[in-house]
Amino acid sequence: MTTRRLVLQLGALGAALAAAGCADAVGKAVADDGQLRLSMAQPPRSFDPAQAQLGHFLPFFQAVYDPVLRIDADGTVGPNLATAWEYDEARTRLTLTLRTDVVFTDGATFDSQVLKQNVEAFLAGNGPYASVMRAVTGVETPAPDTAVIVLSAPDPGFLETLGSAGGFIASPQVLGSPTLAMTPVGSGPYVLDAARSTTGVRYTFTRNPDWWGGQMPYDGIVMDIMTDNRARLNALKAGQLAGGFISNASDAVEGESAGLVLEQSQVNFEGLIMFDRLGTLNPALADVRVRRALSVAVNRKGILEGVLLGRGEVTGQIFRPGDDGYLPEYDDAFPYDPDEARGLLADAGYTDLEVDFPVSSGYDPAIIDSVIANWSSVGVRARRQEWASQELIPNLQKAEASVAYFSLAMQGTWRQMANFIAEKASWNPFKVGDPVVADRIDRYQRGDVGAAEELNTFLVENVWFAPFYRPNTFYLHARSVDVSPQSRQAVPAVYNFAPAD
Amino acid sequence: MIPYVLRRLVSAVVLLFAITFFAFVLLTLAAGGDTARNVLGDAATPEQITQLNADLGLDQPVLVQYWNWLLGALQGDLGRSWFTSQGVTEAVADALPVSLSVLLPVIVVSGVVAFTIGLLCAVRRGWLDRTFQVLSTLADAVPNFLVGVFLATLLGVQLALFPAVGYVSPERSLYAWAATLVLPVTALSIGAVAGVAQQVRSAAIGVLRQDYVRTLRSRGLSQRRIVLTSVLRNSSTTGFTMLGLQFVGLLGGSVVVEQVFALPGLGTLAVTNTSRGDLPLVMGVIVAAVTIVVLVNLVVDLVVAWLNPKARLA
Repeated sequence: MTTRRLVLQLGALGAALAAAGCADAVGKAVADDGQLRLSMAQPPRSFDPAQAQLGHFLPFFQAVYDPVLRIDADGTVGPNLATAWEYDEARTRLTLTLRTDVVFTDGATFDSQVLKQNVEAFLAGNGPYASVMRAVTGVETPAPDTAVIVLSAPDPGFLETLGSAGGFIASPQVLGSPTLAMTPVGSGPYVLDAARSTTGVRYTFTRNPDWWGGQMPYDGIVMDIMTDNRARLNALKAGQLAGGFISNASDAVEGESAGLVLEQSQVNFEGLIMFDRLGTLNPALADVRVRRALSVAVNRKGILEGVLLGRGEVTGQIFRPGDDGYLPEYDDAFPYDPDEARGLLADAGYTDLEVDFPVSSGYDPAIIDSVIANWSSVGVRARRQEWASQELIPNLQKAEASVAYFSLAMQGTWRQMANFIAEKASWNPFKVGDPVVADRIDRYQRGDVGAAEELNTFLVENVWFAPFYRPNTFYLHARSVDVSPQSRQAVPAVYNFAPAD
Repeated sequence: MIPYVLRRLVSAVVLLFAITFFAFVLLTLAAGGDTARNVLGDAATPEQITQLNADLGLDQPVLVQYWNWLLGALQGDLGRSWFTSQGVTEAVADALPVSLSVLLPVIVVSGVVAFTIGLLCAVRRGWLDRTFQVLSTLADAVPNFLVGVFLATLLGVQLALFPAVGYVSPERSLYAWAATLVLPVTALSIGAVAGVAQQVRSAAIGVLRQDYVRTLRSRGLSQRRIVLTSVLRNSSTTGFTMLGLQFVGLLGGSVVVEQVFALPGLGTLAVTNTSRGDLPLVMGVIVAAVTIVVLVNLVVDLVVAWLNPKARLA
């Protein structure tokens, strides 16, 4: 009898807890306290602006720092700490007109000297993004509201750099201090609330009441680190979060069908990267016919429809619509044609080709299996190179694969030239150079936009890259929030959130 | 008793030293010299990578690196994370309460429920025992992370009875803290109950067949008194040993469950940082985990010895 009573009492207690709504105990997407709750896939390495990174890391920096320029959701460069900017004729001197009403949260004021100190700290900081500022040779400060950034050579992507990871400005009083890594001091719209934050777990930002930019729509932002995609999706569906990045199409569709709003944009191109264009590891790859055969043997559309649920666009080029160099006809540069692939391989004398093919947990095995099966049907045998996910990028950049299925960001024409194509580019591991490529890059750097299209033609004809598609990236959010996807970034900027009408 | 405890503590220190040494060497070899490249990202230049390797001391021989780490650890400095700049001691101190918030209730719940079920099955047998046999096999067969996904989806998302994910510290809200623990504790307890209850049941059946139990019955003692004194006490040594093993097993098994419920515990810390090669943080987690395992084993041995004086401590 006693036992039965105890069981009944426990049951009643459980029911009471449930009725009281335990789920609400953790918080709602936009709680009564006006906090916007977001999930982030990774924490920042440091809050030191010299260590800033793109993509998933940007919102942490946007919350506490002001960038020199602001990149709007559509990718347009606009004013921010600098209200106007102008290049000289040689495009190596960028004159910035600076705001004079910006005060950091520690009371220091912003001027051209502070900009100079920040640029110098960035260059000395050996951060992940340091290479994008390597053209900077100095900063001149003719007046407190005027700064001139001097470049060794034109940098067509420099304004975007100042609007993203290369442009965040910290208080001069903490520059160079090790405390900056954990305790950011900026002039941005929010302040990191250390007492309500746990490094690597949760970052709580509260409104900066003295922000020169007016008022952001939320009193605060809470960014919870959730590395697991399913956990993020459950939190969104349960209403615990206002927004979060979702890494695969099926989960995105599931979230959408559960009543969440799905924002989609295209940030990367994904497909085969023909690293070994000189045949150093695999002599067959030196033959453009082999590279094209490997490309047209793959049923891009089938993979896109079958694995990515059709969320994306088939392409054969690395530039995206709207960017310099993009040519619509190259989206169909490598139509699926096994017969052509067999013919090309036969012409090249490789009827029984073997290719080492990296396989990593970072990519959906269904895609890799499809590529291998497509190749097999035209007589190409792929030998799987099993690599751990953290080994993939280092091994590729150490020239340990002749060809790989990989995803690269469409960072803009110039950045892609500098990072993927140029002889010294980090994603040109075999350091393949070509006079045509060098000439087109040089001309584009000096303002000849048409050179980008010529370069694209070279890349497609010589099959340096064999993209499959521009896959959609997914951002799910609650209906109570309006969100604009950020151009070129997987997650929206902190400025892109507002309460829904 | 005291010499025994001291001997165990000395062996624990030796164990800790050996494990940290092998772990450090293996993690360093597994990183393959690519840590700086992973920290800096794919746009880093070779010069940047060389500089960061020097800054982090990764250009030194692995034995020198371990020696430097050990010297720091002996002085209470486990270093800083290469990927978040956070102090390792601080990171582990943040994560440990989360893991213990889950594991300790699992052990308590498992202990109470498993001892109750085990004894009931041993005493009553019949349909109750047969039903339990089937259910415990089922509970053993289903991985706890799958139970976690099911609970999060049904009770967290669909019915919204409990938070689907997340953790709230008890300092912030005791109520919210308890609410966030219900689903992960349930997910982990189901398998643990099955395992411990099976052992308690078997031990209790053995005890019930002993001559002295028959003697107690013949002297007119009630079944309840016999079970709650003699049977429980004599079968509990097995149960407590099993609970200790469960705790150690759950320390590893909770890794995936922490991911499912987005709990920022030691498991999440270990998974996130092992995959990206954050050696200082992983070493911190290893030190914490080994220390916990040693302490739990020591406590279990002491409890068993207290319950059963025949257990030899020497």
